[in-house]
Amino acid sequence: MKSVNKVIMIGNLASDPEVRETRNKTKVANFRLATNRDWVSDDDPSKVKADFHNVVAWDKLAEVVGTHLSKGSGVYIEGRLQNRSYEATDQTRRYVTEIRLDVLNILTWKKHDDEDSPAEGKPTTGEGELSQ
Amino acid sequence: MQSVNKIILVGFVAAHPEVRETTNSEIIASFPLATNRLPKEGKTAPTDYHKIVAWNQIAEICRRHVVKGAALYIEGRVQNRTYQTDSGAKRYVTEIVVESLTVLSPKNDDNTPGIEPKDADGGSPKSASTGHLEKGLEESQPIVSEMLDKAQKTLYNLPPNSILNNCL
Repeated sequence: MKSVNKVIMIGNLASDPEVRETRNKTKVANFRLATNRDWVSDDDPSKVKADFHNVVAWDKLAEVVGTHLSKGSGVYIEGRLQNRSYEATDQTRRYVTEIRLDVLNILTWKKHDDEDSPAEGKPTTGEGELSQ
Repeated sequence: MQSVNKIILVGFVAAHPEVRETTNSEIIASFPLATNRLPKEGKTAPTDYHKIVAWNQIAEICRRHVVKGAALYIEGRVQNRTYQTDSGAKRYVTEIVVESLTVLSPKNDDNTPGIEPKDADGGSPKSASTGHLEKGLEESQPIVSEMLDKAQKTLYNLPPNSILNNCL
């Protein structure tokens, strides 16, 4: 049987994306995405709890992430949940869970993009969306 | 802006669910779920193990119907939390909280996987534990729990899966 592993999220970037290049010139972008737990905020809005997710994008998507996203941007993402491990400096094994980006849909555009063309006029499924 | 946090998984249960009760008598079930990535040419498909957590009613369903090796469809949300290790270091855990669950192929205690359920005889324990569990739960509870007790006994005698322990 084939597996399904699909994550769909709408949230805001909690940090500026970090774009790097691997040894074989592949671009990788990492950022943290915040999603609010709405059921917490129902009774007491001051107690909104957020989950922070590590998101990783490769190649062309990494470029888009680097040029169009910054801290606070609202995004719709689709991807899959992946695990990997690495050796920490204290010789212990650390496990990382991250979302590997497959589809990106930018909901709020950066300021300098707005000056070129009004943000409202830009289709959110337009150039911001790229699938691999 | 309203957030969306949704995850859909289809995979196999990698270990028997661990069911506990909190101090305010809520039930928690947790187990690892394995999903395979697409294999690269000439290589075997790498497997991701996800930590699945279910509360209360769904935990009860997990206790009764989820066994090691069963294929599951899960819908839920991704959550993060931290805890302190014995040495005082902070560790981060990502887990999937189940909002809806369907057992696709229960592993039977007599090791005959994938027997098609027959609707006509209604009382068959195999048909009782397939499909949407919430609906079939009430009428099938005694038979299924008996069946699962047997399955549990068999499963707990298996040697521990060292690969799994390393991954979680």
